[in-house]
Amino acid sequence: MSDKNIIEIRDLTKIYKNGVDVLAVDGVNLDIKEGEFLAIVGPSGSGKSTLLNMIGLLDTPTSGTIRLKDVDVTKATPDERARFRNKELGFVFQYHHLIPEFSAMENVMIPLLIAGKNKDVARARAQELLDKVNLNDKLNNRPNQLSGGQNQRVAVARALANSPSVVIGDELTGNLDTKTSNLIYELLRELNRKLDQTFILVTHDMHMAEKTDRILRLVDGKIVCELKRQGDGFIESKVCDLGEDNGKIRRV
Amino acid sequence: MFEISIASRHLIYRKRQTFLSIIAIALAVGISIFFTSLANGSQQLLTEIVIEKLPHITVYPKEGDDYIYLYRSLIDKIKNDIEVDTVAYSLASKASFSFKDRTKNVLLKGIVPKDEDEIYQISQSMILGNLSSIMGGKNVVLGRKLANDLKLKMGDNVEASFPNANRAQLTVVGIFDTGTPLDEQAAFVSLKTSQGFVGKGDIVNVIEARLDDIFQSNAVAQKLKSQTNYEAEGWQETYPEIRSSLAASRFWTGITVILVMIVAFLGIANTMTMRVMDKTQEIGMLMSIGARRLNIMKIFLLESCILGILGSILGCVIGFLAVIAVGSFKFGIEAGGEEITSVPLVIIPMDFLTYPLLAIVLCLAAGLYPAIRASRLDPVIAIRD
Ligand SMILES: Nc1ncnc2c1ncn2[C@@H]1O[C@H](COP(=O)(O)OP(=O)(O)OP(=O)(O)O)[C@@H](O)[C@H]1O
Ligand SMILES: [Mg+2]
Repeated sequence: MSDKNIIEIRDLTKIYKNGVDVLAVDGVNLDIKEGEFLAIVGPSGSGKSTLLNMIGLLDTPTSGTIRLKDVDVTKATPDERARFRNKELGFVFQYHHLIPEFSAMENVMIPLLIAGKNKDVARARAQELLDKVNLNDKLNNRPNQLSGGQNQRVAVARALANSPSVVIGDELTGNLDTKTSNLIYELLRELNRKLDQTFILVTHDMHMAEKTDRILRLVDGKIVCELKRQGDGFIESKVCDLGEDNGKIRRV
Repeated sequence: MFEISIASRHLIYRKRQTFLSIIAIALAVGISIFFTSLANGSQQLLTEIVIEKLPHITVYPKEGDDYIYLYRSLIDKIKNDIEVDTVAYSLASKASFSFKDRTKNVLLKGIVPKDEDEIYQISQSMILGNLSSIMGGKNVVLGRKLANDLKLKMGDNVEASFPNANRAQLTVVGIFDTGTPLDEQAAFVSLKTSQGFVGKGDIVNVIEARLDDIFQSNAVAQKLKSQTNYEAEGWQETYPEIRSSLAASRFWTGITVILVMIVAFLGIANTMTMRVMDKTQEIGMLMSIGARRLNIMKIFLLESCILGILGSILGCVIGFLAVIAVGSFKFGIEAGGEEITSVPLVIIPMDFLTYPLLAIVLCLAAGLYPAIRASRLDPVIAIRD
């Protein structure tokens, strides 16, 4: 992890206006460093997905700015945003969203082909990545020939395809059992260490969150607590209202 | 072009839906080709009758006149100025024929046999005697039905009476069977004989001509009319039933093509809408990994385009086989004096280009709205759905 900020979020606010206004994200300020392994926790409806979707350029903020590698992406055109999503961002969702008609290999190749890489280059890169997620023996399996955990690993490989600055995961183990979830988190941790890959992960599960370096707790669209890893435990870097999660965290 | 691999994979994995869509397009193209060949066939049959057995242009006396007096100079003018080669002149009048206790109204036409033959091909249809025998005096050649109705045989003398002339005896020297209404109505005598009945000297009242291109007949008739002041009309006017039957067959073919194409269009539009709905999450995912709106649109347009191309190819095969199969089915009916032994079908190679192109364009149009909708999806909502 370097000292350089890869993402700088200032006063980020999202208000949904469907009849009644919903303040989903409320003036969030947040810096994320290159190579960071970050978890966002919080109760249901607290705005975690909304925040993540804005960072991932799938959604636009009502106000505030997001700077990705010193570029103000909130001002980007739709095509520029698509290019950023392709090159600088990787997504892993709760469901793997692999294309059922494609093999693991072909699914991983898609972001590369969208980026304009030729087929041979894309194939070689896909193979390398599937090797990294320990699926080198399943290259030609389609999603329905793979387990939930294996599919999610293919999805991770796909997210890494264009060596993005940030990989974003929204409840990416939400559909998996504890054992498989643990394996996936260990894999992500390994990738984080080996590749210095930045991860931002939203989770309900404090056990998973504790595998990261920094935990942010979001309540009603505001960051109400920040915990930083120190050795095996965490310290609060500002006053915390941990709510239901209080007491579950190992403190230093 | 990752779009094409996604599009083709979608199609391959949706075999049933893909197959049904291709069949729908193939039927539309095949039916269009078949019915067009049928219309072409009947058009050709009718034009052949017009070309071979009917006058292309008919010239009548000037307005207010009963006869064409200076017909020889008019014919020269037609031959030289209008450049029409085959011209026949005749003096036709209404008459009634009586034999024993039977009487029938006939169109008695005084002709020059050689010239008349060039227009109506009577000699080819003679079943008894020959046409040129009318030249040897007060002889008549008449249609088979007319002869049957009057119980006339070769050598019988039939009595002809006219509104404004004396009765005369005519000897039957020939009977023809053309298969056209002529068989029931027409009787031929020499021009001299009929000029004798009318008693106004060397006159005629009809000049008929043939052209190389029958579809020029209206234009040539107009030209004739303006240059000579004689009344002239093309075969379309002389035989309106032929023109309307040509127009009707084109009209119904057009309606058929439009209907089957509309059905295919709606089928594809429906299929593509369903596909976009099925693939909503996938579209959201593709957008999240950087696919642009144009990429998404391309995927679905390619799908409908591939359906159109495959359906069109199959449709051409179906259309061709249908034409061959129906065309080889033999039977015998008579129409227009010709024996037809099979359904008249004429394939025009252009149809194998126009209908497939039409089908592909329609498929693209049918896929356009669903494709645009797909490209406008909000990725966040699409993934969640
Ligand atoms: N498209 C939308 N239109 C209107 N309101 C929305 C929309 N999306 C989310 N919200 C609202 O915004 C708030 C935050 O939602 P969000 O999905 O970000 O919560 P979350 O923290 O991800 O919850 P969960 O843990 O259940 O996934 C909620 O009150 C939600 O109802
Ligand atoms: Mg959520």
